[in-house]
Amino acid sequence: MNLFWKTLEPFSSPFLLLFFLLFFHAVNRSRFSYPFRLFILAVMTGILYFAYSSLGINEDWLLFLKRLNSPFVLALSLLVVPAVILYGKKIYPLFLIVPIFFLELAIWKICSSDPLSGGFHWFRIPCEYLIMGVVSFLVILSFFLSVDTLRKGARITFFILLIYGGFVFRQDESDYQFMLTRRGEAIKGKFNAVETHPVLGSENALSYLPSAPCRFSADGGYVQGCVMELLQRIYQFDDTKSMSSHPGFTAFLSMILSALLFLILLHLIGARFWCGWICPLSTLGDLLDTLRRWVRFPHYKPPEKLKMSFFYSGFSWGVLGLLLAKAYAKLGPDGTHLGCRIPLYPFCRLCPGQLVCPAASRGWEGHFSLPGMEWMFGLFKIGAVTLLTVYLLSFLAARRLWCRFCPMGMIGGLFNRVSLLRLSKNSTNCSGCGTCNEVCPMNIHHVQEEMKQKNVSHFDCLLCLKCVTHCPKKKCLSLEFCGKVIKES
Amino acid sequence: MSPQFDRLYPVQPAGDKISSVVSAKQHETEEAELRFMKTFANRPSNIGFFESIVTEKMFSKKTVPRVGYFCRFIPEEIIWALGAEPVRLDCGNNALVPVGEEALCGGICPVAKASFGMFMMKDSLASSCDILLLTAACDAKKKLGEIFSDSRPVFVLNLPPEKNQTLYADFVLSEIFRLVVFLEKKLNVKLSAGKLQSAIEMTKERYNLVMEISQMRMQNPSLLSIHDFYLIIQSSSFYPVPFSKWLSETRAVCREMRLSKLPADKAVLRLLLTGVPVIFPNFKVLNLIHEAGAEVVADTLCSGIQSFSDRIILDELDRKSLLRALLNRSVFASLCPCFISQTWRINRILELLSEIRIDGVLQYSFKSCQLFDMEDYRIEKILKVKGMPYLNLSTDYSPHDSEQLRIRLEAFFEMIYRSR
Repeated sequence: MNLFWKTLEPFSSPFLLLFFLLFFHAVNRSRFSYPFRLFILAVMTGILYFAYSSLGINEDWLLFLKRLNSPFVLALSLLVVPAVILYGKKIYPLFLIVPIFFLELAIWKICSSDPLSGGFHWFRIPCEYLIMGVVSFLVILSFFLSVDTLRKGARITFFILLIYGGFVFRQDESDYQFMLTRRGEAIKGKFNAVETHPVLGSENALSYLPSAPCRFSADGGYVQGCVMELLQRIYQFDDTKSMSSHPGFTAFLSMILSALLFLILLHLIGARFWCGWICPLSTLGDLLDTLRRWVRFPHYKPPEKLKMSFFYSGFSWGVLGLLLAKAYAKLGPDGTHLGCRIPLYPFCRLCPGQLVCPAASRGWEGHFSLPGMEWMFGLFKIGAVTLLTVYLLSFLAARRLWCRFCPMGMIGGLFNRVSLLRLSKNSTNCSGCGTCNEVCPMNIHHVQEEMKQKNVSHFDCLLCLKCVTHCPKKKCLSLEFCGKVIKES
Repeated sequence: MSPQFDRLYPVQPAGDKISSVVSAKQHETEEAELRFMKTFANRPSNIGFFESIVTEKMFSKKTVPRVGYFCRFIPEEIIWALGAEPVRLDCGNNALVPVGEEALCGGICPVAKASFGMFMMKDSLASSCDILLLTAACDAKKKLGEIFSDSRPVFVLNLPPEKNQTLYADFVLSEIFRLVVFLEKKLNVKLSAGKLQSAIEMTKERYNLVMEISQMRMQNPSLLSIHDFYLIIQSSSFYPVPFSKWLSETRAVCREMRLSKLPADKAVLRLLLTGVPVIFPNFKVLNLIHEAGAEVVADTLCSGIQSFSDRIILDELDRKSLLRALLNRSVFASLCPCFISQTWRINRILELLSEIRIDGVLQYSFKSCQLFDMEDYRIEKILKVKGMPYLNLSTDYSPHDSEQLRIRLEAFFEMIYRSR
């Protein structure tokens, strides 16, 4: 079985995926015939595959490359990208053999592991099987469901995976035993919890997702965390320890850089798509939105003038968190810097995700207690309570207003206009009705107003595709991947 | 909230005219048009039903309050949801124009003159309405409000000057709420989201049927003449008719068209009609087109296919969101020239040109309508760049200039034939 995953290893490298997508983009803009295009793409894939394998000659390069590999990229390369390219075409049912195969592989793996005696049956399943199985399941569903239902299904699936992943799915026997030991210990001083242990992580590779898969979910969550966690990790490292004094510096640096590179690559592929389809923090919040819709309460549309102020508040919060992380690196021996007590991961201590996600995955007993007033003169206590209130209120009354505050989302928003997934509009067919704005959870007017340019991607756009599915005019709005139209109204 | 029309200077309402001469002329105009249409080949078998509606032989007794409205900016669904019967009062009868001209001046839109004329006639559809709703779209409609307010409760809906949903969505919504409050007070009933939603479901079927017939006509216009199509469309909103009966009759027409084996005439000239509303019995321009041997396959008229070509998209189901969805369709997707920019009308014309084969664009405008006159200037230049033949016919309701128009039309068609 290991040989099987080893042959697939080049496909779990984001570099291979990115180069393939750039070729795909170029091929789409050319005038070659369809069979010739397929031939070129197959040849390119082969070349990239052997290029990756030949890089094994240099040990250091191989180590660096391996740090970037992730089962998520494997799922993207083999399942999601071909599904997106072939969506709606006649050959799509034939392609479905691939996800069906991986799904059956995952089910076989679960069934073939030894059952435990009594109690809850934790699923011990290696990460590759689980990710490939979950994504295969979604790809198979995409054949039957409409885009709206598929999006809801994807959000619920990733919510279960990312919030309960650490709780339920473990890698193997030793990993599982380690988790049981950790649970047996009393969790002393919860606010001081240093490291949690995500499932998808080994000593030298950190796995991140661009949206907010908070790793403070029970038993460390599934991935290492969100992009802000990585930035804090960088800032918190004491830079007085250079290569000569600290032996682990090089390893740490390569770990950080590879994680950062991986995140940038993921953003270039999908930009804020992760916010719209995967982020579990927003799925939790959308439970409140569903409640509001069920009681038929109208939503609050903030006026245009306030939109920038939301952006600035979220931006300030992010910057404050990172400055505090930098201050953490300078903590003296008494645990204070300039008289203030600063905890590890200060941004996370303010984020409502750190209060909400553990409570969701372990129940009330799993929630982190609020910090006391001694941490930075009560800033953390007041800040955490305020942001939690803002989170709850914005999801209860204003659709996705929270996503305007979210710093993780803002970093994704930077990539929206340049990513490979774009929203485009054929202005001749636009009737000006404004339905796209009416259904948009972020209340974007740009899509309806823009009449000259073709690319209407916007900083706030979550690529939820509600505007594309609800637009009443034919072929007006469309989602483009590498210049190829996937879905149009 | 202060009422729109303070009754500070009440005027004796226009007396009910019982002139039998005008009444006879009114019916004669309608009958003449129907007689002309009887000469067409291939009419639907149940066209008699629609004819009887437009000649008001099927004048149903008023069981619920009747609310008359002008233009297509006010969603009918609101009136249905409040338990009243909506009737569009834009009038197309030439015989009523002199009646209106007696009270109003001569140099205004003939639709306004004829509508006022109809209102002055006792026992007409307009004077049987309990409440009147107008819009401040064009000047004539705007000022008619106060004139009507002397005899009936009137509400004039204000519209934004720019078709900019970002800036004006809230303004239009607040105006609609004002209208809803006015109607609720007058009709003594509350608007509920549930009733609004069922009204929207009801009119959805009408949309689907009209679009299906329109699609079939685009492929083969000889299946149903544009005259009959307009009769079917206008009989549902210009006259009080039991809605379910209209739906079943139209479904029958649709079925007949689907089963028809009539071959498409490839040589007939296909026109796109744009401009002012063409309302029965003022089918003058349609008659001229028919006699010159061409067919109208698509239009952007607020009294034609365009009036039912935009769908209502529902997302959330509370009252505010339902009203916003209705406004998106009625106000912000409208092609009326009363807005600052004509971009969306040109968009629609170009979209239709790219979808189906069209040989020429014909704009039909009134001599006294400044809005369409002003728009003619740019449309001509834009279509010239696209290489599409275009003609603007500026006329009136009266049949006196039919021959001059015919000559111009025939010259236009000849030019198209030669360039083919």
